[in-house]
Amino acid sequence: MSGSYARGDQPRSVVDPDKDAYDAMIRDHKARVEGSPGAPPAHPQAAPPRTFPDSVVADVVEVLKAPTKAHEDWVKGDRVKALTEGAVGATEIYLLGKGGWGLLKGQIKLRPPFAWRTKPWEAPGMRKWMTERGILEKGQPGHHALIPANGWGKVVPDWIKNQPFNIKGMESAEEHGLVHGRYKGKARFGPLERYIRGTPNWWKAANGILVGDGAIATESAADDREAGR
Amino acid sequence: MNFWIIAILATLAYVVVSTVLDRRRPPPKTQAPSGRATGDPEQIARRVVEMAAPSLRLIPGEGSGFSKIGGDPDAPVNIEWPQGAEGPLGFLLQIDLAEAHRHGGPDWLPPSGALYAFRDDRWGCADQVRILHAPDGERAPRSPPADVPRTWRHPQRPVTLTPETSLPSLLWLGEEKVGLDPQHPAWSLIPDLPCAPGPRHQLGGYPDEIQGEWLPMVCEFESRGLSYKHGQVIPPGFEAASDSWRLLLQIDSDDRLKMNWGAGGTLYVFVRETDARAGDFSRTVARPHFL
Repeated sequence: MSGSYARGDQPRSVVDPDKDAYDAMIRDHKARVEGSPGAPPAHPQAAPPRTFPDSVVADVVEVLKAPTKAHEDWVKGDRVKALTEGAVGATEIYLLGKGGWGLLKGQIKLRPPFAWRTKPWEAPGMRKWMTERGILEKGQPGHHALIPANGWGKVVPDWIKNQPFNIKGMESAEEHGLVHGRYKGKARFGPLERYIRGTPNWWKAANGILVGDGAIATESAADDREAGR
Repeated sequence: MNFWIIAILATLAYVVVSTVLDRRRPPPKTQAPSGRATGDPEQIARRVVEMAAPSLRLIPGEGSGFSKIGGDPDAPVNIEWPQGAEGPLGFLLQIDLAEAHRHGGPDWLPPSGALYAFRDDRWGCADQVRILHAPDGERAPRSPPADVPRTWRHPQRPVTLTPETSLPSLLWLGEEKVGLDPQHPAWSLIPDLPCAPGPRHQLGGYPDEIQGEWLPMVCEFESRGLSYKHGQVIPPGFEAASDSWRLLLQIDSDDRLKMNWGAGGTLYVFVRETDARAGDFSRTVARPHFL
């Protein structure tokens, strides 16, 4: 055994210029471990859970940092990572903006009725409400995109499945029909076309983010392996 | 890795382009031309009451009876099984017209005989549902040809014909206005009519439109071999001609009958009133609304 461990509790044979700083660090560490009042947590894992608004703000800040991170990667010369992060970040910012704008525009119905349709003289149901908000044009078919109105979607309450986030305005009755099956003699859309035409843009953007995040994670893991970490 | 980049960039490009295109889309053109539109709740309420029409709710139940949904038809022996563009059709329902009249059904239907509805899977085609009218006479249970797909066969349920007063939607009034005040006192002019719960299978009256589509106009277009799209300009003469279309049948999605029209949608069949009075059901127009 050699070095400081070999000395045990014996004093150093020479003057240690970093002794004070070292002792202060040890005191600080012990205080953290023993949970002294006011001391910061000893380990990030022991950090108290973030509250809802804090975590949302932190996530938003993280998203807004994406272009900076992408730029840093670009300057470092890691072009592939920079492009990937840039694309994912841009999509996330778009989605964030779209969601925020949607909320600002009142594109979530908060007051009942949540039924798809109501009588003309009753408070507007979801379809009429969406027409009044300009989310659907008058007479434009609205497709229940992610949560179907029937089948397993029956167990999902109207106030969830009839909200605009689940409704895709279709170009025409024919396009709507072709998402569901054969229509006017034309074959049903294939899975890719059903995905493109039958799901809302926010969903496609979210899928892009998932793919992008997966790619970034894969690349980071590969970098770590290369670095022997 | 290049694949991922291309995939992400393509997604991003799609989102950006579709957003830009959405913004550039011209505002919707007037759907219902309408000298008839007023936007005045009092006038609307009065017209809704004036235009109220008798209808029969078809409530599937147990027991026996001629009028039924699903099963096999009881048809005159001299009638051949109807053929569609792609083969034999599937049986949907049959209605005893004398019984319909006794229960206060639409007066423009023939007073006697029976109506039979058959269908295939050609959604969106005007002739997807074939209506046959057969005079009273000897009838016998008929089995479908073997090549009728099993999914076109539905469990048999006799139906009770329950009279209901049917009220038109704003589309039938030619009203454009949205955002009518639901608290307006004029709405008290419209009676609070009883309405049985459950799937809405119906004979006559006005449809429960799922998608807010102007169905009489759709029928007018389809009957002329044209396709109708929401927001399109209506050619002269079409609006007046569309007034003659009547809802003959509304067939809802119904789990007990193993009927599912496009994720819980509804299938509507229309006929011109003059044709129905003459007993001619060869030019009906079928239209589905999906959810």
